[in-house]
Amino acid sequence: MMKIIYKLNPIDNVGTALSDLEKNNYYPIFEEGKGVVGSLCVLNDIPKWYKVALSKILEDEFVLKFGYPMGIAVIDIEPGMIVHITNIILNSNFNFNELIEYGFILGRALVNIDKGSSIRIGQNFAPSHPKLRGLPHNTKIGVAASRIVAGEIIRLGNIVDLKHKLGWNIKYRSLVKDFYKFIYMGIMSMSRG
Amino acid sequence: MEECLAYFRKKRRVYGIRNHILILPTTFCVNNIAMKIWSYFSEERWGDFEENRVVIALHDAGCCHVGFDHEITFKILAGIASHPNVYGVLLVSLGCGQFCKLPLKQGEDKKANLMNFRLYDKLIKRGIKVKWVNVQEFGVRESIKRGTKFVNEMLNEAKRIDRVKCPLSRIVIGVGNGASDPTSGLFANPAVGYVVEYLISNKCTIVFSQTTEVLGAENYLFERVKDERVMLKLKRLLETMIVLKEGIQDYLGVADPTPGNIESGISTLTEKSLGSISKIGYNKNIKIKDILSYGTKIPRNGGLYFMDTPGEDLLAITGMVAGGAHLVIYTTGLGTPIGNVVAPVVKVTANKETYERLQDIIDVYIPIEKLFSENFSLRKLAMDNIYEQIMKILSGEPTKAERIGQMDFGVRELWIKL
Repeated sequence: MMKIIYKLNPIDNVGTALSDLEKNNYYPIFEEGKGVVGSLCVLNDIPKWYKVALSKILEDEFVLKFGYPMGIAVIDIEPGMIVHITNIILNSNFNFNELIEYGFILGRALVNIDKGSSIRIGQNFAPSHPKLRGLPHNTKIGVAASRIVAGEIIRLGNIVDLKHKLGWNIKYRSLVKDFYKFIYMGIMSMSRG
Repeated sequence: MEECLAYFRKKRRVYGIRNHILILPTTFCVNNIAMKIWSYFSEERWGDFEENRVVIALHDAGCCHVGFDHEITFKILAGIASHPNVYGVLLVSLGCGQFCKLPLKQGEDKKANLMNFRLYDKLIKRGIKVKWVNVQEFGVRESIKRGTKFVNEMLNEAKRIDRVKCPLSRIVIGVGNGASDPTSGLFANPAVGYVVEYLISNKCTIVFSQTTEVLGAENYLFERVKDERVMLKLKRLLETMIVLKEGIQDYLGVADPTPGNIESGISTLTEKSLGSISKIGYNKNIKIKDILSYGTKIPRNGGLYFMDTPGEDLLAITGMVAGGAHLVIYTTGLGTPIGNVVAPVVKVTANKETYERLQDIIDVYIPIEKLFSENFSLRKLAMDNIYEQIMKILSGEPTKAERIGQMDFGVRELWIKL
């Protein structure tokens, strides 16, 4: 495969490296159906099939691939930088709480929380999630991925580096867990004879 | 209007693109006896391209099912036996399974006994040519003798039928993907998307499936549903799937995207799913008309449908085919030999190395190097390669899977067996 950056959709702000690209070299950007639309200096070594930022993506902005938001930048990404799990998180635009009763919503912010500062129970965060409610005062929950205004909902999407495991839905999860445990125990006792 | 050549089934007023004869054991106990009947006809080929065969759908279901597993199995067995690509069916029954014919007792009414043979009754009501043998009633040797006689009769009738012109509006095509690699999401799936758009503009019915592979791209799907009723159905389905999947993943300690996915460049679940879902095309005017449950009959009225199936290749394809898909387009990156017992499965790849290594099992290679060297659009490449090949296969040319004799069939089971 050629050493090019492949852009799938005109509005995309990331492209895919079709083979390994080396740091500080210029490579052509190829857009589907249009041909070469420009060139870009790559700032990191980009392995084959990894994504490169085509334009500057500010923090909290959407990362667009296939013409759709596929994630959100957690830091400013310069054009030519690699785009991967190190600098983007899952698109928090999803209206998850419409889909699931609770599980995504961890609680509410008590005061304004700056991006990057830690979120602690009682200090700046009032938990509503059943897994967090019983935890002692001042327990660290995670780090704010963006600026959170007082009263705003804290949920998977604006919090990173989560310290606690959360069930998406406690009721269903325990049901599935119990079922697997039951099957496993059955198999074990059978094999023992 | 685009047309292909197909077999017309007068009684059922459907078109089939193959004229197979199906041997279907109603329970797994008689798999071997059914196999013996089939072995007499294993070399039998007829049709313009020698594409029609006597096929056998071996499976491990048909007994000891509980609750809705019982209904799903019945749906799948009835669905595959009444598939438009099948000319006639031979049911090989044991006698005591859940879908078997009970042996005739002394003084019992023959008709009433047959009425209780639910599978047979259903197929007769649907106007399908169906014969049966019952092992507990006849004995093994007699069953094989009668079975081969029935198949021989149907074979002679089937050989006399010719293909007639069939509009694409009467055809149902399924799309799926499996054994993916980065080329699937970047090239193969969007290319199939263009073909799907063109087929739908010709009033063809398209069905896509694999619920676990659309999780993360919910917003993309929500834009594409027809009305509130379908939206509600889709939301309910996705909610259940997310919760079940997360519960299992949490218990087994696996994540999605998997470490392997992340290593190959995928960063979020949404990215993975967007790549997979692009096989339904980017045209927002094409709406999902309905959400179908596993193995449900797909309406043949043109447009896009979604069927709830597992992400696994075998069960996803079987579900769509049991629902009535005439043909399945399957994109792959690493290569898979999968086929189906009654429907041709067209495998499409954009990975040159895979195609060169696995020419025996992969039908279409999208020459993506032309995208860069000759500046072709992906739409043109898709139409020139995938669409052309599909039209040939619809009119009788055998797929690679059919040539190597793949007869894959499986029944989905959700619950434990007794």
